[in-house]
Amino acid sequence: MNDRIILQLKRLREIEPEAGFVAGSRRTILALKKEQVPVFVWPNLRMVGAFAGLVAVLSASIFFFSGQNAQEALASPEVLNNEFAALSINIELQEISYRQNVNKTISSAISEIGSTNANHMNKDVLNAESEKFNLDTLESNPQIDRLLEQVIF
Amino acid sequence: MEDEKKVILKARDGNEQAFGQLYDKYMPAIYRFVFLKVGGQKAQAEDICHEVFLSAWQSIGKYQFKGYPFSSWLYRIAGNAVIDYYRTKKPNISLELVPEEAMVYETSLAEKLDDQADLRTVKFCLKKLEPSYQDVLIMKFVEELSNKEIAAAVEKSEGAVRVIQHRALKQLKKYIEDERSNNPTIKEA
Repeated sequence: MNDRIILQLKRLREIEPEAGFVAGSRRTILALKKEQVPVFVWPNLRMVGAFAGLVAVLSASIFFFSGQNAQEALASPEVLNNEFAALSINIELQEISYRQNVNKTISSAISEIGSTNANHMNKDVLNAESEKFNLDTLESNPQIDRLLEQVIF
Repeated sequence: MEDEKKVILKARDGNEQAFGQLYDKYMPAIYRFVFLKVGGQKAQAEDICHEVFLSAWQSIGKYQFKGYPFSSWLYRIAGNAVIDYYRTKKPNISLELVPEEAMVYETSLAEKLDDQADLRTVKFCLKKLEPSYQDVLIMKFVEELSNKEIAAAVEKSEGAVRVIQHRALKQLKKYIEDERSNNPTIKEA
């Protein structure tokens, strides 16, 4: 049966497109290509080439000079020194600012210590406190007494 | 036609006459291929064929000789065009529903044949096969391409083409038998 099917398939070869369609399609296709040809003709191509060349030169020069500046910046000791100097100035300014804060803190602490107006430094207050402290009323601890004797004598 | 490679080279350089020669040589085969793939719809087959050759003409500048025949390149374009057609256009129309005016050519052809119904059955069942089976059977038995040419066109190995051919024939035979059992007026193929 396969042979008979193959024979039938071969008979489908007799199918052909209509001559009118073939001629019309052929003409249309080749005409469409013709209209597109002027895009590639020499004068246009020359203009496109010149423009592309100009863009390429500009791009190359920008790239070259910008690349050179970057290299110079990296290689020049002068540039590096300036950058380093600016860096140390910044550090010093930060240090001065820190020291000023520390000085303020220290001076305010000293003035507080020297002041007798504060309750914890006032002599009268301290004396009054010591008067309240009655040693006789305290119970003696024999262990502590013994240890104190050992330390003192 | 003069040496095909020279003609292709000329066409690649934009020579219309050269492309015209290629068009004349390959249009009938590509038309048959597309016609059978779209279920015998003449108008659709013509539209797709026009697109195929237009696309070929516009992209022939990029064509490269890779040891495959030029026809394989055209069949690939045609295969993709048919896929696009089914992807973007109308739902499938059965051959039985094709208007009579679209079948004018077919009818006139069939009149020349000994067994019109039988041929119609083969064509109808061919349409029911999956696309890769259709491709291989049309290229192999309708267009009589070599396995190498078919392999290049469908982008498969020659071994795979032989396997597809075997399975496609088996499947086609089954469809024909089913069709005959449903419609006893059809003669045995």
